[in-house]
Amino acid sequence: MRMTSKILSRIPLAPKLLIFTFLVGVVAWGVLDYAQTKKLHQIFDTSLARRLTVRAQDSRMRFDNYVGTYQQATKLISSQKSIIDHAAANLEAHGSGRIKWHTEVPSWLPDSSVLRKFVHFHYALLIDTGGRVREVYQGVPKPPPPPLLRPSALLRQISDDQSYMTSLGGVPYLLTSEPISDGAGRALATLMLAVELDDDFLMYALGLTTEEDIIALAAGDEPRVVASNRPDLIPDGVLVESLKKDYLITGKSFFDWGGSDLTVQFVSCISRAGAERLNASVLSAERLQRGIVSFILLLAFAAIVLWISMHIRRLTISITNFSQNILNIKPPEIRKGDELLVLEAQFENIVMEIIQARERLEKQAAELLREKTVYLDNILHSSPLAIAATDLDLRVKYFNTVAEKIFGYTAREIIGKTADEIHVSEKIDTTAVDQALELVRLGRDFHYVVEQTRDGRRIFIEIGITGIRDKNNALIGYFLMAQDITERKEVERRLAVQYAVIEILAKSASPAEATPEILQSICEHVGWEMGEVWLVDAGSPALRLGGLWHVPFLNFREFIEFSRKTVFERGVGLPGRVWANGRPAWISDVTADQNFPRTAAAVKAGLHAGFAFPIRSEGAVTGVMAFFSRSVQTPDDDLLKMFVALGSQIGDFFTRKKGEEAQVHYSSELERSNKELQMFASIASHDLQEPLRVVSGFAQLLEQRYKGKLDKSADDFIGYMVDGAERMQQLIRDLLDYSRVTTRGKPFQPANCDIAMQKALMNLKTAVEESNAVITADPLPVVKADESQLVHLFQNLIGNAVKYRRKDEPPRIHISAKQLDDPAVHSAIQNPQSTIKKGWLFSVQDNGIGIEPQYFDRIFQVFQRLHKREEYTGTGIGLAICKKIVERHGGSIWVKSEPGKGSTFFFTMPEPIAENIRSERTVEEEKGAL
Amino acid sequence: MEKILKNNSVLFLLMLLFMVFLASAAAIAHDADNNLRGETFTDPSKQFPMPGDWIDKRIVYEKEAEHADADLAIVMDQDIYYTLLPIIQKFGKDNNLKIFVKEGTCGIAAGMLGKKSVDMGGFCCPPGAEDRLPGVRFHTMGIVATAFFVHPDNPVDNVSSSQLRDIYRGKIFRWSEIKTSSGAPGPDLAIKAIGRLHCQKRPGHWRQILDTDKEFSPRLHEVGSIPDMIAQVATSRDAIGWEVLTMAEKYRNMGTVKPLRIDGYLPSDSAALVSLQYPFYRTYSLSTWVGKNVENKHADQLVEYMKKEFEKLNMDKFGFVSQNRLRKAGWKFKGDELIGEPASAKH
Repeated sequence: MRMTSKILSRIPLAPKLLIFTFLVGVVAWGVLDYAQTKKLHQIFDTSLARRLTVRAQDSRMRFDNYVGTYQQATKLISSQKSIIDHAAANLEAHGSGRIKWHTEVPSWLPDSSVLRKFVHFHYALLIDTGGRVREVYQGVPKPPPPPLLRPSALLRQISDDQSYMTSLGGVPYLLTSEPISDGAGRALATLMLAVELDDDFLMYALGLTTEEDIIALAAGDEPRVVASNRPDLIPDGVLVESLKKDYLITGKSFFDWGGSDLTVQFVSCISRAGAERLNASVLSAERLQRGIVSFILLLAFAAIVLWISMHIRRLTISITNFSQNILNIKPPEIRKGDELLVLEAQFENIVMEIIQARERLEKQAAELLREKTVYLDNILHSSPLAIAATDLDLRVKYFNTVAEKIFGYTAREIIGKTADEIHVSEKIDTTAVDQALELVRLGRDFHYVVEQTRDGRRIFIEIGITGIRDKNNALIGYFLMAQDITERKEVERRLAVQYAVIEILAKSASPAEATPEILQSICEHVGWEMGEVWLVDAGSPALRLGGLWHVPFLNFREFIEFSRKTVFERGVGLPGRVWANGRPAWISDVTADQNFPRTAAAVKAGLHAGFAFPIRSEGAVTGVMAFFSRSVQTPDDDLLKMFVALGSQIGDFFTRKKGEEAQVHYSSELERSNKELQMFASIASHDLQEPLRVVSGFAQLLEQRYKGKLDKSADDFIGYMVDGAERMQQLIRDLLDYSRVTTRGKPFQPANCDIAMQKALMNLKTAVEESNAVITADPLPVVKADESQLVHLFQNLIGNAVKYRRKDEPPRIHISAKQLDDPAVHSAIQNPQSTIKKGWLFSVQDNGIGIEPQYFDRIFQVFQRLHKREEYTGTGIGLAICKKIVERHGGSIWVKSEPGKGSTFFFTMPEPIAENIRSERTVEEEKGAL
Repeated sequence: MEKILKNNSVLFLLMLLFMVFLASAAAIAHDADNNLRGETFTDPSKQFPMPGDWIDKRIVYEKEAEHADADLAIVMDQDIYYTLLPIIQKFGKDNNLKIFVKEGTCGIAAGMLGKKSVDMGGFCCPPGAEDRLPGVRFHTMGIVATAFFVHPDNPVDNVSSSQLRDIYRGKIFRWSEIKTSSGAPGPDLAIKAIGRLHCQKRPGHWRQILDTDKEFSPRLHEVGSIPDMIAQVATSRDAIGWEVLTMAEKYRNMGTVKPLRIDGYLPSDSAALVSLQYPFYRTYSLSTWVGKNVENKHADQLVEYMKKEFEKLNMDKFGFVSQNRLRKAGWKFKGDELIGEPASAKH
């Protein structure tokens, strides 16, 4: 069996299925064929039987009628005059016993022409009234049976007036008799007709028939045919049972009129041959069709099986690949054979692997879950927060270690109890809890803070409640987190105090305004009833009361009055000790303190606790703030520390405010002074210029009129006068220019530096040409500036570069500009004065005589010259003007130089305008210039 | 006043005379109708003479019964065979007897009795004169209604016995001449009267309708066999025929037929049959031999057994009436043989 199975598994599916289908088909064909044949036979037999039944009925009726006609014929013949006359004349009762035989139709019978149409009988007997047969007409060669020639009385009686079938000498006969009576009704004789029930009789009875319409008479216990209408087909003596093979037999019936003692049965037969032929032709046609259909189906099936096999192979390959590539399982090799079995094997393999993988994963998952649960448990236990969980009935399900500490219950005590039981025992107002739960049910979290006194200490517990929901978002319990926020509250309080004080300090204009607010704020935040500030009196080293605040409606009058009258030396009383050691101090109960001069007043005021802290400014204690409470309070070192810092801030505030007042005063004085200076400069320059113009004018007149006319010394003196006046004028002009940089500065607008430079060059045209200076420039930007001052700036710088040239070389001057946010540019700036980060860095570089480094700053001061007037002209104010111009524009100016090699003057200008605008303007203006 | 009284008396007399006339007419009609009815029984005292050698002859079974080594050989008409065979078989089983039973006709039974080849004969008709052979004694088991059938689609469900005779005489030609029970006329179809005129030499059976075959209409459709009778009626909407209810059941494969009420009574109504309110019946008889060389005690035992068992037959379904019940109802018996109807019988 196993071997067979193995062999079968090696055969591919398609041929196996086809062979199997073919075999099944063959078997089915055989079974179907047998069933169909049988069914067809049944159908035909049924049809035949039905036909036979109908024919049998018909045949029987015809037979019955035929038999009945014998009786009627006998009646008719016996009533004929010819037979009556004959009987009367010849058949006296006691005649001789000899029978008169007729082989021709006697006169006492109708003509043969009549008899032919009527009935066919073998014998006609005339029987006298004594019962003796007197005449016999023998219509057939065979003589009548002896019992017929000596009919018994029974026979005669029983055949009278009816067709009677009986057996005579073992041969079935039909007898019928009728009395022959004369006109008076007197019996003369009896006419008896007899006919053998043979083949002829049946043929006459039924007429011409086909093989489908055969009647037979069968007799005997094992019925045999005694007569049939088709003796050629069903001869006499044949067993009726044996006919069943070829004929359908029905209609076995008795001769049922009661006038027969013959156990002969009427049998109707119908041949199966025709039905068999039809059956065979139907089957043949059907087999052919079935064969064709089967063939077509087989072909179709083969195609389908091949298609299925192909897909199964593909599926097997896909499974193999999946197993290998996705599951990383090495599948068994795809062997040849039954594709389904192969697929099954592959699939079973993959299933096995998946099951094993799943088991591994489940194990891992269980392990992970366990670890996660343990980890989660540890997390909860390690949590700094108190964590508790309840079900929907508020029955505690979980209670971690921190919760035990905060709430003071062990997990064992609390788990299983409801929140209501706990609230009742703790006398907790459940209003907030109920509100919380309602909000949680609505999907929100609830936070509230519970304040309790425990061991005389006020503690704050912040509680948050949230709902525990399952993955369908259904509420299944409550989750509570709590933490002791007492410390935080204390910190908040301290911060609040700090903030409040800082806010007061920020918005207060003066110490006088700030002090009472600070005292009030501190008292309110720390919950103490009174605060006071003591200030160091610079004149006498003591602390005097500088300010006071107390909660309204409390009577501290006596204490206050005593305090106002009191001064504290270093180390005396609370303020004094703080002043002395510069550290804050806390007295839990001043009434019990040895160093508290105001004890009596404090007792009367009901004050007990007190603390004080120093007010410091620049390290020195400038005052002390002290606070008092009507209850004994334990020291709060953190609070004191905070106040120490506050004390410094308060001290700084006081000092700063004093400084600001001084500064305001100084600033207003300075402003007034600058205005006076500017006015002086303006007026002085104008006022100075007028007389100078007069002196210069007249000096020039003198030079014109009297040069050469007086002596050389006079000429020199006049020249000195003119020159001096001119120089004075120049100085004044330059001074004016300098002052006008600010006084007459125009508002800044976009100014094209290229154009400004060009204008400056135009102004320096003569000097440039005379010096053969080569001046180059990079494209210069557009900046927001006073253009005229730009021109002045470029003119001064370029002019200096031309003026302070080397004797052996024509000046080469290059002007450039670079953006300041260029890291390379910005890093190159070494000038600490340069503060602008965005803008332009201009440079005017020359190859002149250079400047020694020690003079780099001096050259920008007013009227500072490094060379004699005889060497180089000028008043020494040009670079100061440049500096003022640059500084007015928010930039800075400096120089880099190397004596004998040249100098580069740098200056910065504010944020640039976009390059393209600069470029366009440059192009346009250049075009315009051209 | 006298005039009125005188007038009323005359009127009364006239009415009386009219009523007498009507009754007489009805009686005459009834008598006329009754006269058509043939004899129902023959004279039991008359024997058919047979020769001496025949009388001395012993019962010799035919081959088949001989081979069966039968203790008792019986031949029965097909009608009675169908009804009594189960009882005979039970008798044989209960008494451990081999009983050979042959089916045939009354004629075959009479013939075999004539040949002295059986112990018992079964008849569905009362014995005729030719059946009363010397040594043959008849035992009536009971009577069974002769049912008249029509096609199930024929709405006519009741005819009078007079109408029935007229149908078979050919005097009622169409079904429309007969009213249905709702009062509407029957279908307008020519009546196809079917008859099986068997056992012409014997009394009773169809001879209770019309005495001789001559009385029947020339248009009568004769059939020779019981199945043909059933088949003809079942397949012809216009047909009417007769048979016992058991044969209608036996040959139900030939078709379904509907029994008619006669004078308002169903053939299954055994009470009506006993009182002859239902006037047509068959007589089931068994014959035994009496005498040396011919007697068989098993036959006598069977007869007694049969009489008791016949009581248990489904009387109401098939219209059986046992001998016992007939005796109680005043039917006339000679020995075991039914020989006459009760004097109070209404036909």
